[in-house]
Amino acid sequence: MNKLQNFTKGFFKENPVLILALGLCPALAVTTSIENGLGMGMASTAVLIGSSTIISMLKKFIPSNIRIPIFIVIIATFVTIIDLTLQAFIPSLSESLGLFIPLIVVNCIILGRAEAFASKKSVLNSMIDAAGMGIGFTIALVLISAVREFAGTGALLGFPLFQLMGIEGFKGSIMMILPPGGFLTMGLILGFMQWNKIRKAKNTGGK
Amino acid sequence: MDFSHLIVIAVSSIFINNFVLGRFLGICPFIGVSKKLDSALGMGMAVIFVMTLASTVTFLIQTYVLVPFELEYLRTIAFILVIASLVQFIEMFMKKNMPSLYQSLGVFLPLITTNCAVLGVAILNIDDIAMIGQHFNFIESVWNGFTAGIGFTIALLLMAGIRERLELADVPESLKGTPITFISASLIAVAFLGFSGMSIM
Amino acid sequence: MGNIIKLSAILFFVAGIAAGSLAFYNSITKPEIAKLKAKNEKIARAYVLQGLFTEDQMSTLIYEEGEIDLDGTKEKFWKVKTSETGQYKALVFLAKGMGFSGVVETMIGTDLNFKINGIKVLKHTETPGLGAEVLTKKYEDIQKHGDNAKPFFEGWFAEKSSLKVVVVNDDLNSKDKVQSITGATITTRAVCKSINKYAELVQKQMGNMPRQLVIDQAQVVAAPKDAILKARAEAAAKAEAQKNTVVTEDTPEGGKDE
Repeated sequence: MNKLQNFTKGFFKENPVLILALGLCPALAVTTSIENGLGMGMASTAVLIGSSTIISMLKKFIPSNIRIPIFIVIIATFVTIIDLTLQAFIPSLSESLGLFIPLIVVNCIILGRAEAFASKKSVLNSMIDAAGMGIGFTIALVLISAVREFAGTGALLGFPLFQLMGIEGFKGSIMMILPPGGFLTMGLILGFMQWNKIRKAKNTGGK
Repeated sequence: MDFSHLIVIAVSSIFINNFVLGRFLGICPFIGVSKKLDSALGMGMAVIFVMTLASTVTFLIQTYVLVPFELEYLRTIAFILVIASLVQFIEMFMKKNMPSLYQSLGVFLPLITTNCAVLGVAILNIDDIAMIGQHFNFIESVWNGFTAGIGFTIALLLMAGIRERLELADVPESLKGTPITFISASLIAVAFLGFSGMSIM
Repeated sequence: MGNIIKLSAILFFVAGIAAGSLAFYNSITKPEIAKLKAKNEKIARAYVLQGLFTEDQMSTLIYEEGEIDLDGTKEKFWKVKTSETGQYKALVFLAKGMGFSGVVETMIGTDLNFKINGIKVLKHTETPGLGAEVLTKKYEDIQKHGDNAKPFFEGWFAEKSSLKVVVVNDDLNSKDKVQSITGATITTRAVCKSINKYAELVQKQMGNMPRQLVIDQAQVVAAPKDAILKARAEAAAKAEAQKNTVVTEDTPEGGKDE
């Protein structure tokens, strides 16, 4: 596998949320607006790249029977750094993500990549893999939050699209922003992916 | 000790802010382990057990170690390590002394370390003042851990009950499996939304 | 046995390095966080006092910090005076209340009669589309005022009494009522109630202030205002009376003039 494939595989083919179904809690909890989804995706990507790089650098020195606690310590360190950084420089994001910043620690994507990739491959490859996976996670979050924000408030990135087009009186369905909307959006997106897969399989089968 | 606080906490963390359906904590096991009622019950029990213990230990660490020494910034790292070692310790203890219990719950224990509901409840015990309008004391924290676990178990059992029936239903091909699970979860969440109008204070 | 010691040593070492680097990073960010907080507080205080002072006065305002006691926790409030006269002119205080899904924190600027000049929602964790509307700016306002547009919710509170402000559904007859945000009565009510509660505490605290300040306050509140009002009322009554008499006396000629 070359480096480009290694980078882009996380976007769609092995998208951590949509295909591997990892990191579902933040994917549902913070995706009430694109801004939050993007912020969460970038914070997680930063943690993922940092921890994967360090773990890959130290892989020779980490005894295999205590690797999980060491991974957790390294990940938690990066999460705290991100947490403090957000508090100091982007406090509004820090407040709207709230509890889910410390919970990046238990995001299965990060520990999963550390275990499956970074502890085995070279530093550069681990970094590329982490960046790809992080971007894939961000793509999924932005996708979910775009659907929810649009259906819930009729706006995208805070711009009221319908009012900009001169259509008055559009009211979003607030349920989409509340918890049920998160589950529903996720279910429908996964359903769409599955439908696409079945369709493709049929097409190739026909040929 | 205000007894009414305990009731408020219980109603709040089981129904109004149900960990899975209201706060989105612990979605992975909620989707992953809800295929059968038996395993859902096992997982639920293990979570209740770990959450109660984790609430106890993390509250003590926060009050007697982190706050006095002004080390609050080490909270995330301290809590996750404590929870991870606690789970490991419970697993070893059960394996040796309670083999029958280990057989039914043991397989779920390693999954709990990365269950964000456990770390979530530990952090909420310290941060959350929304429920009773002030910070929890020790007993309220432990109680919150216990009831949050019960809330998680209820959500898990409801889901498992539905999924066992779904096996027999004629679901469209592309929604089979995980998608329909999420859509059912959405409908349960709508029902739980009804609790949010309750004013209990 | 040796293996256990070796493993724990490694784990201990890693945790030590992690804790050390975090301590270092914390020491960098801590002053930044404090600085940011102070800066935001300053901006918010100026925001809620907008319109009460001229721009020159604004830049030289003196904020005197006071404390209120809320079930054992201390909360800050500020007595505001202009540097030229040295008389207290306004109050700024924080209010925290339980909204739908967490604490809603607002800052309120009032005159010495506790009439609200402006409020600012500082923190909230309400549901987007419902309670989070407290910070939403109307599209028309943005078009009209650009970056200076204020959230519509904040505008509702102007000129209301901070001691009595209430959600319209709770008291239809009150003259200090505000509408509730659609679908978010709980949030609106939380803001109103927290403002009432904190205003009352500040008022109580003001009663305990040194004599000097009370006199100042009395002068500012009672004397000029009441005196002016009284004088105005008297003048108006006089004028009215004169007019009436004039009109009755001069009816025939007056009619000609017009």
